[in-house]
Amino acid sequence: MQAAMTITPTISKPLTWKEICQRYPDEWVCLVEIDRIEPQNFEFRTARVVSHGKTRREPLDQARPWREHYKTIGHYFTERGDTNAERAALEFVRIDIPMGMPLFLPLHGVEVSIDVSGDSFTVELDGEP
Amino acid sequence: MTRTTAFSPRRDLIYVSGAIEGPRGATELSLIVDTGATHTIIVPEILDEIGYSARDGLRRSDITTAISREQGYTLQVARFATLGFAIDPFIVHVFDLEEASRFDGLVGLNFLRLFNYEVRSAEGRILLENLAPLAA
Repeated sequence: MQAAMTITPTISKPLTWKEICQRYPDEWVCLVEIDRIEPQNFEFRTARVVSHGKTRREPLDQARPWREHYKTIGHYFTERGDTNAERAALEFVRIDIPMGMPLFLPLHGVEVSIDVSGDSFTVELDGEP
Repeated sequence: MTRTTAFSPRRDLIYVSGAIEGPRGATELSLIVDTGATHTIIVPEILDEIGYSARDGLRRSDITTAISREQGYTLQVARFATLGFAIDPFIVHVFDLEEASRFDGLVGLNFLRLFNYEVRSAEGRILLENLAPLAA
């Protein structure tokens, strides 16, 4: 006997960004029916959450059934709400490479040393090159 | 025409909203304005989702970073919009950013240099003025 499981796509009621961040802290979310205050700015009155997850990919996969209903789906990372601005400032360091793309490295609890002596330079994270 | 986009001056990077459109739909996403990046970068997950794959790439691109050499590719997307303006079509670099990065890509100079722009950091505003008529 084969068991088939159907996952029914779910959608939240309209929520503010603050409510979304409280409900899904530190997660990626996919949003629809985003009621923007101004078209080019992120701020919105309410939006409905169709999926969420810890990785970038997870909510995108879960939101796929909603592509039939919504031409545009928003993909954003939630804030923790209280201390996100300060926390973000501590988490990343940017390294610009001549003729290359900038590198963003997470810095949370990581010791970084950059050696620029000689013809090239190396980056060490926690003592590992 | 000048458009003004707001961002949070309290955050470490300049986060703005953008949108990208492909054959399967459009996604609104979180981007970083980066005047130090030559090209606009989008993570592959987003492009997969709107119907593109590596097979649609124009050419492979190697990106050299401080600790590694990464491979990506360039891709022409149907439409790219951010900071109040849309360009169609538009070429982006598809490149995997750290999963820990809380954004989906960078707005680089291949977008910004189509405009005059002014970053007013303390006020949390970016002003873009278009120099020539853009595609409808």
